[in-house]
Amino acid sequence: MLKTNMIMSVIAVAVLVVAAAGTYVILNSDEPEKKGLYKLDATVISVDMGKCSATPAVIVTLEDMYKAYYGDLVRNDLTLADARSDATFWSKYCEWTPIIESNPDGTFDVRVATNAKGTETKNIPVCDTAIILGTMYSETLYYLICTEYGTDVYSDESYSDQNIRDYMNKTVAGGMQYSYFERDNVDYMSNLIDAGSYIDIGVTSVQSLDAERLASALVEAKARTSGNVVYFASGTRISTSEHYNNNTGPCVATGTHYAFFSPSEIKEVFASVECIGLLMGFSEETVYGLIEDIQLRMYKVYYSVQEKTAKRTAEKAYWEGSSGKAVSSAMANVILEFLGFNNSLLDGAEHDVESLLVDRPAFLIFYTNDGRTSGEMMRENN
Amino acid sequence: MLGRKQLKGKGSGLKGGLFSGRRIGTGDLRTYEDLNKYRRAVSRRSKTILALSILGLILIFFAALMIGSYRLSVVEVVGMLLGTSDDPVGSYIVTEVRVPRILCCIAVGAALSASGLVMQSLFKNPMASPSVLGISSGAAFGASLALAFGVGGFLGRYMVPGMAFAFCFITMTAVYMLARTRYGVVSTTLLLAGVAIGAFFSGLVSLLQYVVNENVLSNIVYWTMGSFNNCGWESFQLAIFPVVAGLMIMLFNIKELNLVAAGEEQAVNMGVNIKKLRILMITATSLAVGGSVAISGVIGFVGLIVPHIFRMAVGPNHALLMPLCIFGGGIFMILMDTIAKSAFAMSLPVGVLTALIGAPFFIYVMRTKKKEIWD
Repeated sequence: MLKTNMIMSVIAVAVLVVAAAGTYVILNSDEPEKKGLYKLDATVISVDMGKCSATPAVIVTLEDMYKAYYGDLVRNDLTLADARSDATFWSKYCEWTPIIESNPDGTFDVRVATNAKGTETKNIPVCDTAIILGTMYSETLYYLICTEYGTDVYSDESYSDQNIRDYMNKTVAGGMQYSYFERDNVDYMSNLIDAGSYIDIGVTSVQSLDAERLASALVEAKARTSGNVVYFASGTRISTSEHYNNNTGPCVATGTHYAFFSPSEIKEVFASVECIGLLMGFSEETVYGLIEDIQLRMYKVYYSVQEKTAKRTAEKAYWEGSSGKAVSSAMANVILEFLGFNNSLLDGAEHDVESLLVDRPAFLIFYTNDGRTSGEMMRENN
Repeated sequence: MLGRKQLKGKGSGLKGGLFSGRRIGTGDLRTYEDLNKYRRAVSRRSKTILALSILGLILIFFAALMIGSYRLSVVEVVGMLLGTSDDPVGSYIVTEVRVPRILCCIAVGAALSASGLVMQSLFKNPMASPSVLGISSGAAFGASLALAFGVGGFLGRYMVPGMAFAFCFITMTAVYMLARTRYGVVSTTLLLAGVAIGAFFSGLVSLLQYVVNENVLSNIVYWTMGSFNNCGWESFQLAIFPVVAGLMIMLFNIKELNLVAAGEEQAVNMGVNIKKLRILMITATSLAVGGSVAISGVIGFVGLIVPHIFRMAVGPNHALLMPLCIFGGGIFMILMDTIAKSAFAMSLPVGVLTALIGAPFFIYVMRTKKKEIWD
């Protein structure tokens, strides 16, 4: 009996010594054990959600994501002529179908697209004021005015340029909830647009629009100008006839023009820039100058991606929204495909740490406005 | 001929609410003439309350017409209603935005309140209402299926209300079948069945939200919060037929509802076909709730609050309660919607407001007035 007790005591002491030694080693280790998605050793980036839609800003996302994953561009001396001569690139990403056509009387025929009613053609004159629901249209205007004045976008110089400020304040008379710009770090809007004069319609989406507020905003915008007012919104989100009536009714009643866009491909960026630019009275030089600049920058990224991924199986990338689910938008898929990634994980589903460790994505993408901590996003506690 | 002792009895069916105790004085009834006087007094007061509620609805209808972000004076609104105004924007706001929106509020408020009343009487349970018994969740799932995958597309423009109605009916039948025993419907089982079925359909709605794309998701999410922002004439036309049909069925069965509320056994003895009445009422409630949920989304607590307020005021007689719930439900919903759209910097979904106001109000009512409600 005594012998058994002794053996048990020795074993217990041995276990304690091993545990203590193990704890010491772990706590004093130079490299702490990686947890959660850090185990993947993947490249991680946070991108601006507003720059992942069909706006000129998509080029910023493409460049940032390329730089984060691949590093420097392979060649920086490429020209637009090189881009045009690359038939695959040009036809897939740069040849757009125009949605605007000019008429001899100076007006335009604009193809307005909504999920509720399909495509309609509206005759719209040149407008100088807009009520805008969505950031895509104001961002396009910001790019156009910066191109016109030769100023870098998102630069302090552009935010302090009085011409740009005046233009944005006059043209973007109002629209989506102003607090959204501050909340979601839409810097060019919160820096340039004066909250006091901005006509806030109190919503961020066409689905929750109050027709009366829109009508009031349109009346106020019309009172500020002797020119024409246009209402820009997302046609993709106008998916029922109730949404359609709610968004178009106030425009018809107030004599305001409207244009809805439903882009789902990179090349439709150019259709939107062309349409918004010409409609808002920018010169062809400015409009097509901006388009060519984006096309060239896109080609530099595209060329480098082709070089870097030649004879290699495409790596998987995982792009997660702030809801914790994989994004599934058409533009996100196109962006990943453009950058040479396998986009099979962009299925809109929730992926737990186990499935991601099995799928082994090499590139993890989150949004800058994600409210979670980096530990939560990387499932550090798993 | 009623005897003197019977008239003095405490258990008179006429006692309750505004007419109880000292106000009219059932204790003073001595003769048949006294009883007739008492009935006439009740009838007069009932008519007065009914007239006041109709007047209230009319007044609040016109008051709500004046309120909104687009400023209009009374004279301008009247001019727009008469078609004499030369302000096209104001005319659009009044005739195409505010009038159909207020009419939708009335239809939805009336449908939810009357349905709550019917369910409370039919199941003899003060907690019964479309939202508590999971009926609204069922309707939400039906409508979400239509929104997400176009299920029920053969119904054309009636796809969403049709699916909402179908799932209202399925949910209500399932809750009733689960709660039914050979001795009747057990209140606790009914509530638990409602909670379980409601949770099941809420789970299915969440599943739909999980699998659909972002556009459909925001449609469903916004719709499940309940709002009149997208309600125009088209919505009103969609809802009015099922809501009116449901309300008519309820109104035509007021006598039977009174008898059932007094006790199923007595109702059967008085010749009420309970089984038929239940099927009729389940159909009527499904029509009314389905029609309203289809245009405004899920708005909770209306079917719980409004019937209780009026039951406290006028007692348990459905002949008076039902029209009061219809008009009062309309008034309540217009009030809520006007606050939701005008009192804040942004337009709130009305379902959020009814839940925020409704839940504490209901707790207050339950804690302070529960005896008056059901005595």
